[in-house]
Amino acid sequence: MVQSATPRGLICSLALVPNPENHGLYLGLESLVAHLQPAVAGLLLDPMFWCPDANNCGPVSSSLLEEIITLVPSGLPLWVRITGTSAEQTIHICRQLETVCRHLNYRGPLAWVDTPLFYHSNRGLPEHYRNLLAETEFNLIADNDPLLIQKIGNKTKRNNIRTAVLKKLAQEPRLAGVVHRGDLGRSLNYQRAVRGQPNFLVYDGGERSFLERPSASGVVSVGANLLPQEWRTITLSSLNLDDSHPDQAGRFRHLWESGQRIRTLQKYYGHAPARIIPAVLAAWKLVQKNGQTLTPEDQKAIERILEHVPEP
Amino acid sequence: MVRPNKKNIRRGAAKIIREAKDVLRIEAEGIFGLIDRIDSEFAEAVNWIYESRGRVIVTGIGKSGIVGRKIVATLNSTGTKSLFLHPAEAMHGDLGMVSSDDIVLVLSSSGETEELTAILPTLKDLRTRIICLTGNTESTLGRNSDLTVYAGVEREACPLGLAPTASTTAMLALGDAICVTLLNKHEFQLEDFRRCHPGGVLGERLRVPIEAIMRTGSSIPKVQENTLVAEAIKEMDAKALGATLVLGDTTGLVGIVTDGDLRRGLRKYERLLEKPVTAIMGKNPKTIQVKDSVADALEIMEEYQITVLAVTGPKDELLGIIHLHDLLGKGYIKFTL
Repeated sequence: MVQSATPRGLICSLALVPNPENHGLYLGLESLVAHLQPAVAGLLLDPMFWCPDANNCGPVSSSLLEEIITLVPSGLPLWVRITGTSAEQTIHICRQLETVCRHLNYRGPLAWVDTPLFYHSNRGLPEHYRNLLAETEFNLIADNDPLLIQKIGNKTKRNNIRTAVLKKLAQEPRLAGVVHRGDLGRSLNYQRAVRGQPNFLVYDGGERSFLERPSASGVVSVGANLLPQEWRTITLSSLNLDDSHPDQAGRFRHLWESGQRIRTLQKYYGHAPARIIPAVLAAWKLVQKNGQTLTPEDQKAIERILEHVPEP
Repeated sequence: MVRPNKKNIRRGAAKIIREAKDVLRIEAEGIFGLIDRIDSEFAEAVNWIYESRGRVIVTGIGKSGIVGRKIVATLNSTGTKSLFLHPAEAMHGDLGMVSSDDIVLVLSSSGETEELTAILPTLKDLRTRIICLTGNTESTLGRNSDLTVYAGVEREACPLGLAPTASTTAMLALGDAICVTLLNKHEFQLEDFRRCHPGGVLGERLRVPIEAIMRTGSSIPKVQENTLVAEAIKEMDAKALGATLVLGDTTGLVGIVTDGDLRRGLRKYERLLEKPVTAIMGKNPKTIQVKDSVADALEIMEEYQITVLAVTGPKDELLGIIHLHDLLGKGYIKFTL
């Protein structure tokens, strides 16, 4: 059976630590993939998140995609962000990366991830996605990230994909799902809107939302870079995917402790995950140090995390 | 106790209220989400149960097991014979309760519950038809059941996956949908419901006041204390309660003559029919107050091993009579609930 590119479960946004000496390359990918691969249902390549300035970071490069394709075990779903600064550039990035896949004879499981409101308004979005999907043989996942849109000061009228627009988008057979990073109310509205498309998935992009009220589709997590097994435990349990509990009391204790570890770490890295998580991974020697500037608050958070979890 | 109002509302109340509303919204959406998923598989499942000559054996473990027990209760009370099979007990002999005529309804959110997948081969060997309610139709149970009904939800309400919430609510609701559609297919009537709920009907009866069901006026079998036994027998025969009350000229109720008193009188007196009733009557008969309940009457009858009670008013005046059969709704007086 061909593995779906959009599995229910834990998708980890792979920590991308730029190599300061070699632009376009990233540190420690091999060890990081090996660290995560047993626990995750899929990996997301999202330079936009890990880049210090979302407005000024490049897309996934051909070399990064090539390297990742050779590193990830076949069958592990790969999500790749293709968001550019305009509709045209996004389509161009998609085409370019598709060429890499063809060149490597890689047929997936892979899905493109895009935050459309980064460069496009709600108006005309279904048409834009029809054009985009015509350029690719892979599925697409829309990313709704109102905080990011707000942060970059986008001049579009709305920070969220409108529910009515999502309903139309979900009718596109190869638009496989949405990652929602906002409030619960909108998430419930999205889920209601796409009910006619049972294969369309609504992932939680907000870790805290998922931990409190888990979506049955799964979660896109950055914290899973630090605690992959704990995140796996919580995700499987939240999605009712794991039903074999010979020791119920032990299971509850395990869930509770895993949840507490995740929450504790989240408290520390929450204000700057893109800076703190790579630094912790470097302290664990999973990636090399890249010399990124850290604030005193970041330093304190890293020390606290290392007190709780001294090694991976 | 101080009831909360706007002035004394405690800190954190707003958070509690918000979270509770979130939980209810998520659970409601979980059920709404199933509406569009009800399809021909569901209809077929209902038809299989309806046409089955056997029973519905419901099985599940953990919270699904608790939901399963509720589905069994609802099926039974709405006219579909059903039993709960605990998967662990099934492995230790309870599978013997399953026959090929039965339908097995398997409940599992994940569809991978080990205890259930373990009994699957035996159920298949028994040629029992298996219907699976699951949130994962591609799971082991989903794929290996004869019919699979989707019972998944879009979101759970409990943090960290500690306990299934919306998914068990959805499964419960789906179980109700099966029960109600079966009920309608069976053309289940009020009388059928009563037959299935003797406890409920009896409970209602027990609260009924005696005055609502007692026999009054000319229905009361009664004779004066100077009446001959022959006349008393005619009265007993006419009123068919197996007894007659005996009244004094001025003193009201003085005794009771029952079938038992007649038997004992026959052995004692050769010419019983010519004797006055006072010769054989039981003195100071047991009574009950008119405002007392059926439960009180039953208690007295059980304590004294009698079947008839005289009913008196506040001044001990005779107002009626009650028989055990009336209390149970089998006699002259019928209950209408």
